[in-house]
Amino acid sequence: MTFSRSRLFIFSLLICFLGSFTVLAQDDENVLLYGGNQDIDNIDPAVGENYSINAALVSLYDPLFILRGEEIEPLLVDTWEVSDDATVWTFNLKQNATFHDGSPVNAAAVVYSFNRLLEIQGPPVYRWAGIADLTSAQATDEFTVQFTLLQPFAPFIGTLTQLYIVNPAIVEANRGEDFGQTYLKEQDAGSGPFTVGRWEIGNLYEFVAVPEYWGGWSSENHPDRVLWIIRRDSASQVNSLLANETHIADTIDLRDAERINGTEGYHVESNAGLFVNTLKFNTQGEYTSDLNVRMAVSYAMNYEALPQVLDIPVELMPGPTPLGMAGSVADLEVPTFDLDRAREYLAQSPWPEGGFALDYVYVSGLTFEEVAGLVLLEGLAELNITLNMTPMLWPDMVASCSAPESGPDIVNIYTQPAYLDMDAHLFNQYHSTQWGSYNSCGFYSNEQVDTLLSDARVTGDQAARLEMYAEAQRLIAADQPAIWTYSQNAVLGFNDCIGGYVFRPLESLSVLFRDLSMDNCPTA
Amino acid sequence: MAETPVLVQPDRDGSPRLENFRRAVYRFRTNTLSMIGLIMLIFIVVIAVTAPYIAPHPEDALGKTRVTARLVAPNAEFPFGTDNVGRDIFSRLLLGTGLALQVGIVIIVLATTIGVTIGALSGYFGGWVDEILMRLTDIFLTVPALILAIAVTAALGKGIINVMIGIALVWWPGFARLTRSLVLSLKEEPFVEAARGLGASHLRVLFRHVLPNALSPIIVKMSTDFGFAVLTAAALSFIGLGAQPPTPEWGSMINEGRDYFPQQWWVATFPGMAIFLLVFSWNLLGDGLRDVLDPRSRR
Amino acid sequence: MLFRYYFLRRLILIIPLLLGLSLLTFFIARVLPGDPVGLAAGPQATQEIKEALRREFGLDQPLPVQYVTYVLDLFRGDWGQSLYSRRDVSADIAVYFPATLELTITAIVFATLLGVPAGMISAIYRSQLPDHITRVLALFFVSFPAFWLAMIFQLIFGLELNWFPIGRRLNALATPPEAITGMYTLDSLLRLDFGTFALSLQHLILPALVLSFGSLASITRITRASMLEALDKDSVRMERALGIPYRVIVTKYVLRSALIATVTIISLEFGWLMAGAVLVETIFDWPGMGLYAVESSLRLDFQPIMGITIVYGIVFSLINILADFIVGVLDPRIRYG
Repeated sequence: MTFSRSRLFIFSLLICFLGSFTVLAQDDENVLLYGGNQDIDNIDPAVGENYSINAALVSLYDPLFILRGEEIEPLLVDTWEVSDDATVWTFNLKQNATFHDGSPVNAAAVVYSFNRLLEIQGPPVYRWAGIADLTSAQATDEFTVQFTLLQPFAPFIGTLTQLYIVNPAIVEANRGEDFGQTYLKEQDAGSGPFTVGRWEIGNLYEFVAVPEYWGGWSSENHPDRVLWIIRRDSASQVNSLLANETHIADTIDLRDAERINGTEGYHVESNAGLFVNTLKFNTQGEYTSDLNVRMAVSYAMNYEALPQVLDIPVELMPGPTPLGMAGSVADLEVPTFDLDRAREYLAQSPWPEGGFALDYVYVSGLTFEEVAGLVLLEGLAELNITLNMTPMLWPDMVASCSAPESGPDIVNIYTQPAYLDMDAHLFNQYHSTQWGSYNSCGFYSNEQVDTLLSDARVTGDQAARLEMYAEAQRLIAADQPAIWTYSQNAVLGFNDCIGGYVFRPLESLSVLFRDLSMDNCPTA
Repeated sequence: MAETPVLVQPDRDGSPRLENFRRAVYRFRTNTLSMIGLIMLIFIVVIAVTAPYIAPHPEDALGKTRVTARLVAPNAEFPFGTDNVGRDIFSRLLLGTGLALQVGIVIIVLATTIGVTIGALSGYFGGWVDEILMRLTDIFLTVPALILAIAVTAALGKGIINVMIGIALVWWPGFARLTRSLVLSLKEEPFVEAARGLGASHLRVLFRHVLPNALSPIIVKMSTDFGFAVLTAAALSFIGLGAQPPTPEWGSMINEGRDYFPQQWWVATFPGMAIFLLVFSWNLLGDGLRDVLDPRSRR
Repeated sequence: MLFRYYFLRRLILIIPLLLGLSLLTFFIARVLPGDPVGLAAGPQATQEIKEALRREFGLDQPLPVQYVTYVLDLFRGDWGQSLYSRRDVSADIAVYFPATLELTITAIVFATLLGVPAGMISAIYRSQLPDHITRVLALFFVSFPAFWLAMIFQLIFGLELNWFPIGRRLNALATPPEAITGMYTLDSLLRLDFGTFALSLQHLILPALVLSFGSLASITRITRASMLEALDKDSVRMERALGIPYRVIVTKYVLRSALIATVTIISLEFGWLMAGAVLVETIFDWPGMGLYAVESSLRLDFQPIMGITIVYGIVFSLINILADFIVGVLDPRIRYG
């Protein structure tokens, strides 16, 4: 035993020795090493949607409009106009845009891409549910496309940042039985600044720059290749960044952020985004349908403790809407941590002495959500209310939100608007037609709010819309259908050699590789 | 090991079974390692029972958090440090001891009950009963228990009860196989045939005459499997299928500590050592039991 | 003749076994309380989108019809799609399986290299100090939670001593060898790329070592027991009486007969290790079947779960047959009926 172990030991030393001699071939090209915490499962623009997939899609494909910072900028679109009732939208495309095979990005391609989305009905398509159908998009000439919507929809342009244009010729050539889904899983058919390189599922993904990108590069020192290296746990994220094994790391907690900022040559970008955490009450539930119970529970939450126990930088919410969002009302009166007031509210409910239990449902394994529950549990214990911590697997949780009967008493939900407009934040959470979807798991219903949210959708005048939204926020806040906790910062660790990063409040974790520049980046 | 069992002359008043038992106890007592294991285990049981009285911060297992004392390194007040919401890890470990024992025991008892019943029926009745039950057993044995347990538990839903059920549901085939082979050989013994001849019912023969004589190997397997069952349950908890918070369940505690490892090493390290101590002491004990009860390894 | 017939029969018997297994996993997968379509449609999907998808995936059909369709597709090589990523299960398994196989094989080699000599020492020095020490050590290593030991090893050998990388199969910048078997070490050797071989081996050692501990105890114990049995045989006593050196007896006569039981246990342990790989892969970011199984289970993504169990079923059955075969070769006295 001893003998074979020592031999093993010598053997392993030998291996280390050999390994250190292996030279990793490097030209003087710019290779950006990105430590991503999540897999990129599928790069079909009609199927995938999460932060890692979005980062890939916006590199491989061009959307009609692109989010840069807080602005929505036209990308493939040159000029556009809209009818007064916000129903007919006409876009004139830039005529120099080309796909990777050299063919032009024309109106037919836009129509094809949009209809393909609607046909496949994947996760991205909910944005246009009830708003557009297969007849909506029409090419009126080679470079003009017209969308005639089923109903007026003021925030339409915002949704077009998620409409990635595919090359119809390539998709048709690989159409198969599934509209090219098999082909597009791991290959691109886009016009974006990058194409697909090495593609190792569960391990690593490579994006190779298109030198003659039609839109031009914002920097001469743009990345020639980007490697998305999966780093599933945060400890290895930081270690890799500080060891120059990666140049950007995308899941950084507070302590790691301190470590990175304290190290010369590295820095952290931490910005308040629109990634919002909410504890929703089931407003149709046995106890939580009572406003006084909801108020009591909301006053029993120790809000100030949250930033301390969470390992991510957060901003407490001023009400239903984060302040970073245009149209957010700042001066709402919302509950604070005040057990006396909590007891006053409880005393007015049918259960003045408490003595009941509420289920708190959250995604199993998400520490942030668990910790928020533990803080609430402690406060509610003072009111003689039991909080049953009920971690669930994600699909189970989604399923329980399908009807008020199965909906949990309190559920922890993260939301992020699908496009940069108040409609995307409020409509899906507080409009009663949205019951059954995950974001409306509180089953909130208020006729006045419904009317305001519906009207704001179809109003063209932006100032008038914002007023309607302000009124809706006041009404919602008075009903306290949720505990509004915090918005979570997007925290990314950078090697100082990386330039060109601009924070985007939406898509806050998806870095725009196309805008980055690299200045003599070290590589381990 | 200078003495041999022969030197002890057991009293002749008891039944042969009792006599065997006494011999077994004697042999067990001469096995130092097993005695160490037994003592460690008794110690663990004592901790499990007295935990609410000896834990310095018993409320930490019931939902108390300490926002201002997060991730404190081990010190005099918190011997094993505190976790990410400031709970005393030492107290939570003590208070989780009972659950850890319970999980192992429930899994093994459930699995044994299912397995022994199926194996006994299969071996005793033979024929198509045997065929059906053994094919079913084969199917379960074709997939690693852990993989199947993860799938079953995920399907049942997260929670420590479901972890126990999930593991027991995939654990019984080993017991079924073992019991079947024991019953097959015992079935032909003269005393069983005699009992049958005297008109005893099938069930009576099976449970009064056959199974008691098959007990030793089954007990050995129960004791050796206990450690694996505890480790498997911890693994499922670690993956994220385990007990609901704030239950101080050891596997979940390691899971919680993983985010803070290695900077705050104590959060994950101490629960891991607790699991190790429990499993190790049981394995020492089981090793001795095997020597005593399994005739093949008596040498 | 009998020998060949026996193994042919065993091979054919795998098929009904797999059918039973597919029925079992299908049952587990479809009694799931969750909503699998919600996975594919995304959390914000409306009911209409979900209904459309339900039809597309055939989930609106009666369960028996779904099962028959699944099995027929299985035989045609269509293992279905993950609802979450909409990737083909067979394509994913083709990537993940070799990674797990590589890890497991290396671990079983480690376990054998450590366990068999330990068992021999234990038997030769029966009831003496070396025997006690090896037995305690074997029990010691098997008592650790593998995932915890993996973390500790990462800390000691990876972060502190810096001997080994702490995860993944290869450095990000290194290109894996062009696939032959999908196992990096083997492929790089076959392609005579020794630099990549060294690198991938370096990544492999730590996880494989941690994994091997799970099997150390039983391999040691069985080797010890069968060695003792062999040493006790009259023939061995005779040979000793004839003055043949003890060392020669042990290596030439005893080891061979003792090996039979060891081969059986090693094959059984191979299965255990493959399952244990789940935990080691999770810690070491090893993109294998275990990681895939855990992620799919936590998403209740049933198509991959079913595919994974069937692959494990096939591998297990084949290994068992292989073990019987090796034992048959080692011990010609065994008769097959």
